[in-house]
Amino acid sequence: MAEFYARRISDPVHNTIGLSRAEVAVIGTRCFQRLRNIKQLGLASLVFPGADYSRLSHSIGVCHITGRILEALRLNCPNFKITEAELQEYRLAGLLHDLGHYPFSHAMQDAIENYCSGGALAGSEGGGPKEFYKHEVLGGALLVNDAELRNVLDTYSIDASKVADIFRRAGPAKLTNLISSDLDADRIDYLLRTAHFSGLPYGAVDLEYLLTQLRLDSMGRICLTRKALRAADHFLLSRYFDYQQVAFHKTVVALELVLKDVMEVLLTNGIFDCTKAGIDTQIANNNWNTFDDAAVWAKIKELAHITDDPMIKLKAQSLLARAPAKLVGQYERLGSEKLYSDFARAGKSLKRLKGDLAKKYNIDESLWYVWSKPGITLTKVGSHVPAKVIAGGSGARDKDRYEQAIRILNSQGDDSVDIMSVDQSLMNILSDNALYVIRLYVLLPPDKLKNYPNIRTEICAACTEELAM
Amino acid sequence: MEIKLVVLKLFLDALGVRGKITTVDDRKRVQKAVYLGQLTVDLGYRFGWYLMGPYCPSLTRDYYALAAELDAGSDEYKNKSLNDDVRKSLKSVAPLLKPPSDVALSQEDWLELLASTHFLRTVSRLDHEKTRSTLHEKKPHVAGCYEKAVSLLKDAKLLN
Repeated sequence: MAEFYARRISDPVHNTIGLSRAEVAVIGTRCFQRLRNIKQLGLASLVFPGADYSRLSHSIGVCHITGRILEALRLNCPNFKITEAELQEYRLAGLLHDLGHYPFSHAMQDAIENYCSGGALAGSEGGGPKEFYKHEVLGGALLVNDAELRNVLDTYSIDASKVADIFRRAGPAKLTNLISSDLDADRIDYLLRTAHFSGLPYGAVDLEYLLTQLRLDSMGRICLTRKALRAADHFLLSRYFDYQQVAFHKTVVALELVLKDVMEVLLTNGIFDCTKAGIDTQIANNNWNTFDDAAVWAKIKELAHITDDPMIKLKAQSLLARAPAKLVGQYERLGSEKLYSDFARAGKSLKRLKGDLAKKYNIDESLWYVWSKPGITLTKVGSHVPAKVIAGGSGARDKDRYEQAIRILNSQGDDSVDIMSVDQSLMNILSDNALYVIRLYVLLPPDKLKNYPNIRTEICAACTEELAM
Repeated sequence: MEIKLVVLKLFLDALGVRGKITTVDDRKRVQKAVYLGQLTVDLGYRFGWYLMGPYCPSLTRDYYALAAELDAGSDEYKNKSLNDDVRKSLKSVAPLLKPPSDVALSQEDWLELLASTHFLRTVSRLDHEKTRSTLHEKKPHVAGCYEKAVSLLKDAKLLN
């Protein structure tokens, strides 16, 4: 039987976290310690200096929250049965869910996806897309193939494939939303931790109350009582604000756009081999454990030094000097999906404008970036299917996405409905709305920087005129 | 347009699947077609089990991004094509995506059945009977055609 307070550690977000012996041993493995050197928020710490916490501390937090949710269900729902062994598997799934993350997380994964899928195009080398690992799959592969981690799991009689199956959603299971949904352990810890370290006020999640109101409906789905409606609305709103202020902050986005370009250069030139075969080799040779943010920074420094391509040099140097691309035009509207056609038109305008401006100011087109988000939503379901359609029972349910919504128990205490269908919830009104954003950035070469104020004024005027609708 | 979106667009074209994502059925068709297409050409999308069977949240993000690019007039895909090996592989799986004449299911339901059957057998590691009972419990609207789906997946050498 697992004892989840065999060791206690201090954590600035959760105060004291209890861990089982198996969890302590997993944390001690080299492939888990690697997460210490991967920042959860990528380049966000270049904008929010305190927001530099690691995926290691987040993963321990997710393990802790997973355990608390399951303990709360055990306390709140007399019919909920879970063995200590299952509880351990879920906690380990929480602990290990980020094990396969690449350095700089999503920026690098995007670059890998572009590089590898390009192999499918005519004229590329090889006979098809290069195989690569998504981070969840790589995490599963590490669980099975990393000898040290495997040895630890075997020592504690833990079935590695069962743990991997939980975070990969490998089959029908009732508690899957614990790991991936609008209110899962990952998102709860992310929000609390990001608020704590960034200094932004969007993490005031009423976690203690939410835990007291967790229930299971008659189908065994995790849900909240009606009393927790406000706390659930507040959680979703907080997450929305957090994404706007951190992940989609104008400067964070500017830095990550350039980082992605630089990563693609590193991959194309074979400086990092992130194909599946390359990663398998790294794991087999014990090199995976040092493939972290610092390793990528070192290669960016080298690249800035040795490349003959002035555009690549400029991009690498801009990252090293924290000299982000400048935001010179933006379209931003909040509303229903009716805005989508305006959004598409604005996208078309900015793409055209990008080419014209590149010529006009004699700034290479590869230094211009259009970044767009077709609808940043409050819930995973978002505005693509109006909540009213769902409430009306038209049958047009986007069930796979709705499955991830927060569920609210009915007054009889048996069935539950998604939060968007509850008339009194903010999400009932807001879930149909989304933020549509398009931005135009330019990374200015040094010889243009001195004229930046004038250029910016002119470009902003051109963008405003182009986007006037 | 990002290269991965160009490839996704050409991939769907090669499978004969419209990239339209206006309705729930459109989106289900794209999800399940990509799952099945990936059995011969792996684009790297990874699917988990959801109510309608295999589903990949990052594919959802990508097809909304693709739709936005196309609606914004991006046409980079027009001067690109898939290489011969990829096209050949996708051509081999494309006929499977159309419901056979003796199957009274819409294309999206047929794709849901094929993808779910394959997922339960290979990823969830369920045997033939357990897969059948799971489909009857979770997907009664398509489970009646399970044997046909297994037979065609085996003929296409996508299932042992």
